[in-house]
Amino acid sequence: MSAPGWWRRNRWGLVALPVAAAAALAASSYRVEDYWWLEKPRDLADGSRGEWVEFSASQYDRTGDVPFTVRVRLDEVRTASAPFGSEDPLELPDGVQAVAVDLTLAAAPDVPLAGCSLVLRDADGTEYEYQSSSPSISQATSPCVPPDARGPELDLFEGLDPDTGPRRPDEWAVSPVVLLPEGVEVTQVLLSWGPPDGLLISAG
Amino acid sequence: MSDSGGRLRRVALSASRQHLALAGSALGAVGLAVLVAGGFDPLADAAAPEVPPLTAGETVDLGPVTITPERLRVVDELPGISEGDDETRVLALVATVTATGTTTEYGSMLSGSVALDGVPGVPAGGGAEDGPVPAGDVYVMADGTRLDAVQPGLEYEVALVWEQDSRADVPESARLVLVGRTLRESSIDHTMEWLDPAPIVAGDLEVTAPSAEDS
Amino acid sequence: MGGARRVVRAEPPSRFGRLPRRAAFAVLLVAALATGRAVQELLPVSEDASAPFERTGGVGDEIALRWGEVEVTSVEGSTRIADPYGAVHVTSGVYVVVGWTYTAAGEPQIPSYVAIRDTEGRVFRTSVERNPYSSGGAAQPGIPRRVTAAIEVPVDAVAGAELLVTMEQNPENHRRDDIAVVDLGLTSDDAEAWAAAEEPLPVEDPADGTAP
Repeated sequence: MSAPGWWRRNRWGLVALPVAAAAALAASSYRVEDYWWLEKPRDLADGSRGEWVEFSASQYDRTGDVPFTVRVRLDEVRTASAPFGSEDPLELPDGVQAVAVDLTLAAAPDVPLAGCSLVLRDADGTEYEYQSSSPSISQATSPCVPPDARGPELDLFEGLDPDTGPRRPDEWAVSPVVLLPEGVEVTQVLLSWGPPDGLLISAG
Repeated sequence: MSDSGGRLRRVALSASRQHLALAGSALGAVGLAVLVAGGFDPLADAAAPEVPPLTAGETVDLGPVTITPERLRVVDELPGISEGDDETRVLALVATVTATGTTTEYGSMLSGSVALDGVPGVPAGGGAEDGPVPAGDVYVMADGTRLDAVQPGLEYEVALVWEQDSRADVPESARLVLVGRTLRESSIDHTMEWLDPAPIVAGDLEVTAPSAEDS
Repeated sequence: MGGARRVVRAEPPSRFGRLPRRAAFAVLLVAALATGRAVQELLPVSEDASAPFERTGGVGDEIALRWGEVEVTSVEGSTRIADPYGAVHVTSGVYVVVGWTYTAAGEPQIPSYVAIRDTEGRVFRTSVERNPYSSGGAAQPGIPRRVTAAIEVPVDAVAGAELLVTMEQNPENHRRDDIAVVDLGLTSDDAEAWAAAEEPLPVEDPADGTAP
């Protein structure tokens, strides 16, 4: 009786090998989500200028998940004349341009939407962020809601009333301003209320 | 516990001798890990060693810095320092500090290395803390600004300050505890850090009364 | 495992031949692991592998890095500085005040780690009040940001000092990332002159754009 072949002797080991390899990879990838997937908006809904896009995602706070649906329309990307939510004139250093992003949004007034980020991209993929304060500009904290009627906030701290201020209208327009080097052409507008979800609107 | 012990025994009995040795060492390792993680330290039961006495004007090596405590006084006014108001007065230790390491040490390390023990009304506001109270802040005597970083190789004359509830009496003397640290590899991220704070010297210092114009 | 034992039972004579082989295998395995560990301990791999990539230059050089560009534009010194809030700080050593321009690449970024390194390897970092430096927040890519850092150092640290600039505040996170190392071109004459200077040097707030 000949001895069983190598493959036969080790058949259980061979069966276990891919499982073990997969388990090892899974066990060592526990930070992929934090360091990559949640680092930036990657799960993107698409839209283009002048059309309404419906965007549904979720934020979370002390009460748990706070799902929301918002309709967004990018109207225009134009040269800005004033910071968003401020009467002060723009004072720009040499070589810097200010771009206003005209957006119309619509959502239920009881949905917290103030915590959003706005990023402009050029054709190379370079990203320029909405900043409420920098050495060259000072404007409203949130680029997505009317500065004087922000609507409810996320319930993040104990003792903080999340529902203050006037009621947000059902539909509103905002014009946040982003500073770019002169000569840069904006091709995409990226709105996000927290990664991994985002809304990517082409500006062309 | 007895149930899992029984299961372990059954497992152990059914295993071959090789496996028994393996299981034994694994069990030992797990047991040791549990003890270590739980903070078990066979040396911990040894009585805390007597801390040597402190002398004003004598330099003490705390590890990251050396410090020479000069005098303890009640401060009405020191530029920039929260002056004593109606509810609190400020106790200040005037000391000379030199950083001995090779990189910047931030201020919280210094203020955390000097503590007052058993002074009534410290901390002000009646925190429920027992034991020595670390200094609230550190100021540079030369310009009255806050010292939030100690640079290696530089000498600073500083005031380490505590707020005392003004309803408590100004103590005639106060027990000062200086806390030293050891440079060793952190078991968490394997970087060299100043760890294991422990009292190095402790003793009473006379408290100089407030100057003439009292608040 | 169950399969292996069945094989053993079917061929009892081979059982005793197999045990030494297993023992030898175990010894070999332990030896291999021990060798690996010994090699790892002997080679200075961990230090070299965790070192940042130093991009060097002098005052006035545009140093290109993964995350942008750094150019030191001015170096001054005195025993006093006036911080942006008007407070005057007095040092027993020397305040080195460095102005530089930073241009982000790719996306808005903040150079959070700023330090002076002397020839002995001592590192003097910025803080908030005593060693003022403010980045002004993330700088938009392509827009130069002018910033100033004032760091107090002992007089003997001035000659040959270098400025270090990188993104991550925690030095543990500098591994395998670019760090700008700028030779400030300082001599012991500078050190002596600055140690005697009493004029407070202003520390400017950050500003955008190239210098006017």
